[in-house]
Amino acid sequence: MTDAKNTSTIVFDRATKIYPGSDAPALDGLSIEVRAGELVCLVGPSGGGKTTALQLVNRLVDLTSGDIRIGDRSITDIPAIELRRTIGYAIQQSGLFPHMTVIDNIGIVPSVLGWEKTRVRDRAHELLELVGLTPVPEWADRYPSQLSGGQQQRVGIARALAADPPVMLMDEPFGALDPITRTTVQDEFLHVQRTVGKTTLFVTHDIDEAIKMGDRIAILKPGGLLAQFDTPEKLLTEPADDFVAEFLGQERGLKRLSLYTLSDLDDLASADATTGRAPWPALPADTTVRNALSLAAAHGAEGVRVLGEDGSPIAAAPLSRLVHLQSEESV
Amino acid sequence: MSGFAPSGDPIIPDYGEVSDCVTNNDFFCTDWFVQQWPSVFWPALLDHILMTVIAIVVGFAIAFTAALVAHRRKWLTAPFSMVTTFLYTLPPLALFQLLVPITGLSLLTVEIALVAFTLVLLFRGVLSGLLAVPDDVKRAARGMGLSSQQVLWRVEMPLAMPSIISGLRIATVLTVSIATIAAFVVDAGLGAPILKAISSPFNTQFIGAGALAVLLAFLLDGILALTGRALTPWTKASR
Amino acid sequence: MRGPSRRRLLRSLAGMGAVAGVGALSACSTSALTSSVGGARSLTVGSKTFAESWIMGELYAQGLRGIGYQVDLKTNVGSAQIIEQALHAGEIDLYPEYTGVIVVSLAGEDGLLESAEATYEFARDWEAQQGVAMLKATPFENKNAIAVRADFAQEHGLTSIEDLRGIGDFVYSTYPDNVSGAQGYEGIVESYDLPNMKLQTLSIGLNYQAIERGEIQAADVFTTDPQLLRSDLVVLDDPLNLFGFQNVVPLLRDEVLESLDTEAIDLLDTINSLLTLEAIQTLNAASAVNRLDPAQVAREFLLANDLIEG
Repeated sequence: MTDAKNTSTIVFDRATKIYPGSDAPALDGLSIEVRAGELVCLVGPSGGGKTTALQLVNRLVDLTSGDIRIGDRSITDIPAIELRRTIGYAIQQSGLFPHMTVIDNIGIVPSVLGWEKTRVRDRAHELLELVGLTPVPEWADRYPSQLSGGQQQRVGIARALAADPPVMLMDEPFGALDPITRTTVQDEFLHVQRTVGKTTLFVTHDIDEAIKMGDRIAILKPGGLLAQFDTPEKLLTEPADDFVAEFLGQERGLKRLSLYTLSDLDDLASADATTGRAPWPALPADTTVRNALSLAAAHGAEGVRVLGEDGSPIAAAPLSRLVHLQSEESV
Repeated sequence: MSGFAPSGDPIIPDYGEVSDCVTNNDFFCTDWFVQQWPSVFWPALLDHILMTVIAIVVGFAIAFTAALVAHRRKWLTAPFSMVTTFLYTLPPLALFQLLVPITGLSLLTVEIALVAFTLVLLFRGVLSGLLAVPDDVKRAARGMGLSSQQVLWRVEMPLAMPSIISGLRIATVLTVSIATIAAFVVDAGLGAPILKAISSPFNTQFIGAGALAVLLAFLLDGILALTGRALTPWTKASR
Repeated sequence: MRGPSRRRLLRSLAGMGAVAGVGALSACSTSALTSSVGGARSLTVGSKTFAESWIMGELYAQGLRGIGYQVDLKTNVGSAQIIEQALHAGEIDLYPEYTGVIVVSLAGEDGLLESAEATYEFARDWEAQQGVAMLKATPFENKNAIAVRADFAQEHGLTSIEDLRGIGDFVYSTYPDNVSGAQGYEGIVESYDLPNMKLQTLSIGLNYQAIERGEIQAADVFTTDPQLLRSDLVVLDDPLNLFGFQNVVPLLRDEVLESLDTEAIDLLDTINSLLTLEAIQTLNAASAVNRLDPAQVAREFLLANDLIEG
């Protein structure tokens, strides 16, 4: 494992792409800066240019005008193939090579770069542990056909990280997974990201996934224009225009609530301050506020109680607090 | 000058007794077959193997190259397909007749014809194998920074192997079969005893040679199948 | 199998294949696939499409190889006209031909010649005009003949075809292509005045069974048929020489003859001189009855007569 985090910024500088044969740009003058170590989600409806934006970075598609820089260097400074070897790339169907074992799949870019065999193998082992496919010997020599969809995606992520690239591109990587597996793999990846901290551009059409995963989110609208680029909180509370508001949907209020947990609510009343006929459900402190609201509704309760570390209720949060988040005094 | 030398006094060899089996032209006279093995059947078998192997090796070299070119330049697929299919549909004897005036009664004539028959099977085997590589695999490979050559040789070729082996197997069995017709051009291969045994029908000879041809086809097919499995371990992997 | 080790396997398979290929090709020297590259002391011998011709081709080829020639033997080249073309085209250098066939089929001569020598000379002169030379002829002739069962001959006192005139109706068989023509059924009936000879057509090879079973009394045969070695058949004389003369001679282009040394020419002459009727019938029997390969049959004969080393 590298000690210093090897990670760079990605800067889009009026990046534009017009495909031959069409008048309208697929991406129109995108200018955003992804900070080092940040996970930025690109979302939007189809035709918004999010996949195009991603593919411009590793030059699977070439810029019509504008520039993209990784670190200080423009992506056009070095040949495309060399550039791609310095960028981690994970795609929806994982694209694992069916004829290679898990270990060989993970080690493909390092071996192409000429790393020595033992170094490649050690690195692959390290990554299998990172993505949670342990004990390593059980997984190393399997073929992709012997893995489930979720396991394949994890190998795909390990493969993208293998050569320790400064940036990562992920193109709807969890889109083909069933919802339960998707949640697990998302959590796994967030854990990886906390450990490894790579600058990541993550394309998804699922706004909930973007809110869950992204440090910041860039919403692209049809015509390849940037609608808004902000943190999830800002996006949900201050949508820039009608398009964003509509894209976030009427549930954006609730979506915002999923950004917080019960432990984020301070100055709560004591656990016995309950009202109404139905008993208030007792939930762990890491339950999201949204889920707390949902469970309250399910029980017909006027609030929820918060469980302490010892498992006994220590506080009570009425519906008004669940909705407002901040206590009346601090407003 | 007289055209007739004084008649010599030849020593006429005794060619031995004939078994009843041979006289009655029974279905298969094992003794006769075993006795004739070293001088007739074994050399014929070796020649047959040689003719087949040469044809497959040359045919594969041509078809493989053509398939790679057609893979790069898609528009060539149709013309190549048409030519190789046309060659395949020619009746073997007719092709031999066309070639003999040009290349003579020689191994070259035989090989040109045999190679012509293998091309469409091998071409399709290689090309369809390459085309069957999943798009997401190719996209991932490109996106990760493998050059086109690397994608071709490290990813596409190995994945095309099952189809290539399949084409080789069919082409080999076909070649073993058609090579028996080579006896019309060259007195070699397992077709020679068959041809000679037809005019004055002698069952053991053509059944023996025919059976050897079938066994040879099975053997070569089996060898290729095993080779294919050794080269494609991932196809055996089970959940 | 891991990537690198699979690549190693492929490379070693390819290497083995190449070595095997080269090895096989070079070890090919005794197989029928070797073709002579042409040059001094190399020759291509041809033969026609039936056993006797195959045997003679093998006799010449193996004999010449025994004295150091590189010989390529091409069998089943074709019938008289086709193999002649092959000789002229250079596809083959030498092949055995019947003198009568040269006269009748190649030269197109209708008239009957009087003797074997006359036939030989006519053929030789005609071939000389085509730039083709002839070596010495075999004692044996392979021509059509009429055979009857020995007891039938004894019963009617038959020694020659003329004797058939007075014996009443009898059945004669020949193959379908041999009904008309001077040597065919009609020609025999006309030339020998045999109105009592009736015809049954049979494919070649079925006549012997038929005559044995008494279905026919007389059969069209070839004088070198191995079946004639049996003592129960008698071949009738042909005083009119209707069936002509058919000794076998090696034909070769003039320049090929010039390139051959005397040892080779003497060898071919010697081989031919040893081919008496009995000898060729025995060789044919070895092929037709014992079902031995023509190459083997020829080899045994050459060995027995010290013409090649064992």
